[in-house]
Amino acid sequence: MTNETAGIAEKNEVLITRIINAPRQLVYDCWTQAEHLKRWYAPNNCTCLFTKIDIKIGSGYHGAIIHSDDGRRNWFYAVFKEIDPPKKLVFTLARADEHGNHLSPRDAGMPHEWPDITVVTLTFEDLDPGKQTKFTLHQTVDLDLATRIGAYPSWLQMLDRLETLIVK
Amino acid sequence: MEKRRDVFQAIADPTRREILGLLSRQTLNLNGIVDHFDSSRPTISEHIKILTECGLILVRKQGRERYCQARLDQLSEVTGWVEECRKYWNQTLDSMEDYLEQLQNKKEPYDKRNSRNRRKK
Repeated sequence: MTNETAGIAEKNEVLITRIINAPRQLVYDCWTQAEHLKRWYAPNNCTCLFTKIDIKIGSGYHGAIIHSDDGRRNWFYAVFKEIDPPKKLVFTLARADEHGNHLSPRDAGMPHEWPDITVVTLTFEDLDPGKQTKFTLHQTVDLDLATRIGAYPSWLQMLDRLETLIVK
Repeated sequence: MEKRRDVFQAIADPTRREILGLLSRQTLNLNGIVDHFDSSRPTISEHIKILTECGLILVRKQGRERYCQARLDQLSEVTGWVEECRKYWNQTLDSMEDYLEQLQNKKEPYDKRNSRNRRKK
């Protein structure tokens, strides 16, 4: 069971590496300073709204991604676990309501077998100091947290069920 | 009016998720499904129609009855959350890079403006 669980966790990871032509401190500030964060943090055809940006352990972001086409707001919150300027940031990320309360993926209208809480790790590394930065973003499922909240078992069940269905 | 039907839309609704859950364990006809819910028959019928259009339910005629069978292999699309997240982050990081480029092109070097204090460690 332990191996199986670990295997599934490994498969469900996002790892993105970017070489960015900007000083490391600036790339780091993009994630930690309100004036910057508010100006870029959104995918295509979306804008963002932050109600909280508080870079402290145990505190973090609360905000929404606003879809430009229909004005739909997807609220999220992040809680910082590790802050090591300007090298590393670790935070948990989950869905929220507009007041910052936790929402399960199901209540947020997401596929309910999606992981409830994920952990995002950002690293910032000097390639050419003052000019070029290697940035990585790693997102994975926090097994401990998810198990505590009860989301992970249902997700695992779902995968088990899918596996048996797909394999047959 | 053509509406796009996909798995995400299918399972965005709690009743539809329950119907799928129910049908994943057994094949039922419409009455069999309606019995499990407080909703009216037309409501359930509409959900089944949507689920069918999304390819998650197959309706088979057997004599006079029409049986609904779940086709959950489609749901593998859902477990593609890694793909969705990757797409989300890649777009968001593109936005960050665009912003960084703008910021650096129009201003004096960033190091001189902001980093002085931080460097005194």
